[in-house]
Amino acid sequence: MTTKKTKQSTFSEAYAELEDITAWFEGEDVDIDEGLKRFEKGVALAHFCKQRLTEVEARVREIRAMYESESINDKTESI
Amino acid sequence: MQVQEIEQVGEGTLQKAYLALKAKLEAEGVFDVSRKRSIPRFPKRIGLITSREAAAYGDFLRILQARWGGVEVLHLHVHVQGQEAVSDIAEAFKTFANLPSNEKPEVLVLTRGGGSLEDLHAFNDEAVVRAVFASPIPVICAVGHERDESLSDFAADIRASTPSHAAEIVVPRREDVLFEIDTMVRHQESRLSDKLRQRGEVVRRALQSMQLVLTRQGHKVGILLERITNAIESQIGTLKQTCGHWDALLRQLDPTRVVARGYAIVRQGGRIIKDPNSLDKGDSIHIQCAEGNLTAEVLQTDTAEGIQQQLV
Repeated sequence: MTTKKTKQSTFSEAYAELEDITAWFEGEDVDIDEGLKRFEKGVALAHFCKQRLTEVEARVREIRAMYESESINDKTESI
Repeated sequence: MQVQEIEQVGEGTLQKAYLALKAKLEAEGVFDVSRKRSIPRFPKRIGLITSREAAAYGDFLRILQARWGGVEVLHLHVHVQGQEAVSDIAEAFKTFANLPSNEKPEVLVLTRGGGSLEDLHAFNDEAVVRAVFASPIPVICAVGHERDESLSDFAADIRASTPSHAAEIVVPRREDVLFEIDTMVRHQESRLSDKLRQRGEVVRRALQSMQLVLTRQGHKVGILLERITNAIESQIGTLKQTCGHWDALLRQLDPTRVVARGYAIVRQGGRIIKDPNSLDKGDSIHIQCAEGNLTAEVLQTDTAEGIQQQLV
């Protein structure tokens, strides 16, 4: 089990960990104590993922082709 | 009128060139399925190559927004038709490829709406197809409507039928993922409670068999107690019998019974007199008879046969 803190995880990392925990529970040898620990972690990860799902806004940033400008134009807008 | 030469013009020419290029690129392996890459399920940054003015731009962003959030779209405006289109698109791929890794999108979406073969020409241009093929970032290509197909579509890692479809491919639907998360947690929970129930069952069975053992042991103890009780009772019977014998014997020896038969007991001061010599003439003695007692005085003693006692 990873010791990574939920706070530092991205959505996909948290989701992958949740999948790992689910897969662990699919196994034959589910130890109760370890199971309780993992379940607790699973619930925390699910909570984190759900919170991230409430982020509804996608940001659009316009960038210019290299021959037009050196780097990314910082014009950012929300949709 | 005599026809001396037929020259292909318009769509027919384009169609011929299209097929020739398709065959060439196919032979080179540009469309090989084996080199198609997958895209991350939850991309954080998406590169969008399309025209700001195209309906595809709005369609893509609208569907994206409706399905998923928190994603960053890096949009690079290009002409999707006309003379500049080919160089714009090819350059866009280079730009994305050269972004620093912390800016680089995880997937590129090349899109435009439907049109005639001439309108879609840029997407069948060799330079664009090769740019799609060479992109270090996986490419989703969505050109035209359902029925349209471009060589860029074939070269891309994933082909989408419309700009909206590209948005559907590039991000999952919030509701679906929410359902998956809930399902996973429910699954974990049910597995855990199953295990807990199983353990509970083991404990219950252990208790049951322990109880059975105790009951059996208790039964054994009961049998043992019964045997002991029986043994003691039979011993008591024997003892009672023995006591009865002794009782009869003792009763036979009871002096009152002897006295009842007509004998008498002589005492002096409570002491039973067996030897007359222990008495002197004139001693007061007590005689116990069957029906009562006497007090008498010794007149004469004689140890030999023919004892004489004279009563007062």
